[in-house]
Amino acid sequence: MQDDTDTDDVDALQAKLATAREEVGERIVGQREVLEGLFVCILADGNALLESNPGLGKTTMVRTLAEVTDLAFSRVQNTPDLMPSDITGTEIIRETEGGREFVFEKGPIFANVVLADEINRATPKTQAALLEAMQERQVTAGGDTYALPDPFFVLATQNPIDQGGTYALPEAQTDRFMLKLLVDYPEADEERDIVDLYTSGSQQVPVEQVLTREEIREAQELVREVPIAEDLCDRAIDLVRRTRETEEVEFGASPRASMALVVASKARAFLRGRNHVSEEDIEALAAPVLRHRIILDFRAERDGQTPDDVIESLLE
Amino acid sequence: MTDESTGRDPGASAESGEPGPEGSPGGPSTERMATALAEIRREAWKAAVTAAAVEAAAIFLAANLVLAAVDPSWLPAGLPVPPSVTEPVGSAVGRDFEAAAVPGTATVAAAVGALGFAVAVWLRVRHPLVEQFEAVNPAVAEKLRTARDAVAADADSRMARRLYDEVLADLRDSSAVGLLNVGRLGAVAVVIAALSLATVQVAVVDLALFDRAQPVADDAGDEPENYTGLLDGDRVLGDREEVSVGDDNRTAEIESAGGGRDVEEDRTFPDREVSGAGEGSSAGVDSQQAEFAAPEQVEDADLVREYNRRIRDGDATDGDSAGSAGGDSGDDSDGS
Repeated sequence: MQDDTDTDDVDALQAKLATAREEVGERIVGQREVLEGLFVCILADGNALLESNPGLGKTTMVRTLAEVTDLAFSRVQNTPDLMPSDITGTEIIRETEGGREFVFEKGPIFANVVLADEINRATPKTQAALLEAMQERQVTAGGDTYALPDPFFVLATQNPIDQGGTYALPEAQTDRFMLKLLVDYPEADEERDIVDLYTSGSQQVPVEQVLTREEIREAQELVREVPIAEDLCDRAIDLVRRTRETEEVEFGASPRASMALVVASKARAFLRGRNHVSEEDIEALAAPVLRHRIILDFRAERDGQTPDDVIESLLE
Repeated sequence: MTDESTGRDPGASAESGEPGPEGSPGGPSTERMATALAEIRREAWKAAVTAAAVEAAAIFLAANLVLAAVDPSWLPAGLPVPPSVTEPVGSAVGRDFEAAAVPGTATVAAAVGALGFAVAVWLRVRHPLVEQFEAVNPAVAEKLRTARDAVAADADSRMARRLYDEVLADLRDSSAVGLLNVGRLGAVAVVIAALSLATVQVAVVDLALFDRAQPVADDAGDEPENYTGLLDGDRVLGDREEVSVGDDNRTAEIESAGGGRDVEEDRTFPDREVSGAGEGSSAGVDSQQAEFAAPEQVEDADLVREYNRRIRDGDATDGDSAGSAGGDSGDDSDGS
């Protein structure tokens, strides 16, 4: 009886997740892999770094994701003059009947979904403050510690072009993103659909709120319970370890990458309605998990190899 | 999973809630999964033993055939059965099996077959049995492997329970028949049939590949001295050969008692003169050379042809002699 109840609950949750994906798909044409990666990040309780040229709908994508849930959403447009306190919040003096007192004014980071646009345009100091908050799930100001809301996701974007006046994220910082998702240009028919969708009728396609934050938290718990075969777990770990041994890579991925690969694979399996991790999950998520965590050897770069090429060769 | 031999499937037995041999301290789902895994291992054992038995039969027949053809000198014709075995059996069935012996070739072949069986089973079970099942059921392989590891880790979470239920449901549609290589089994069956025919043929024609020495017949040794029953004619009289009847005239001297006179003159046999007119009680004696007939075999074309020839000759002779010797007969009957 208990098993039946559990099964019904899980089935209902997986059905809601599928509906949420469909709702986001109403507004975002194509980009299925990127959307799946974002949902994987949410279910695995991780953060994502989206990289693409401008104008590919990164911001719309993240905003829509927040809209189909009841999660609080905030956006930070990173610029070189952005201060850490502009993100985390700052203490201000407030006049009260009892006199003046310091009050902490929470910054935009106090939301469930934080979109950090063009994160590589912020100064390293601001980046560090954002990423520290992202990692610690708390902000310290004026000697007090403030917990960030739960669930909490940072979805950051950066452009691969126009690198003048930018501050590339240090490797230690990028390691804190569970996935790095590459948003590519849409196919011709998809681009036509985008044009049709946004140039006729209402400017914004409505989406329905499907998931609550409680349901997301429950889904995150269930994801951690998804069983994984020992050999698949070993394969994930071995793959990460090989990034440290192969000649094409100067600096390999850390054990945090192993954890990220396994839990992201569980999330993908859950998202796809499976009760176990498949080898396909690990292979599909190897590049998103590892591509921003490795630094290629100069000879590999000279040969025109990309991190994705090396990861693909390691998977073979 | 349905097994052809038993008609049972691990999923069904697990559903029935029977306690499995690998009892798990986990919840009911874990126990059901453990039971299903035990059932899979059992089915894999059955498949291994079945295939090994068929191959062992082929090995036995091949070894028996080779030994029968080569007939090595070191191999005794028969191995006596220990009295500890024959006596109880003999007393049970009321017969004497004291002299019972097992053919040496068959005994050695059976030993080789048993060794082959053991090796074949070992070769099949040396790899984990559940993994073999997964290999022949790729549709359920990954989830079964995961469930196996989850059971080993005693996982009883909601997702693990869902996985167990899913695997148990899938096992009902899977089969252990794939563990049996039907093509290989068919080939071995054909080999067994061929070896059986060859074994029968060798037993009938007594094939000797290396001109081995023929066994010396030792009548005295083969048969008990006090044997008084029928004997094989060929063995008593030697090889059959054609003998012409009465062609050689021999002089013989026969003493006859009765009649009151000694026989002093030489007589020639057959003596038509005497035989045609017997005197008193002294009976005439016709001698013929010893002759024996080999066992009749209707399929022996030469023999049948010889019979026909003799019958025809006999008819012709009877016809000739009927006219010339008719008076003799009458004299003979008169004399008697």
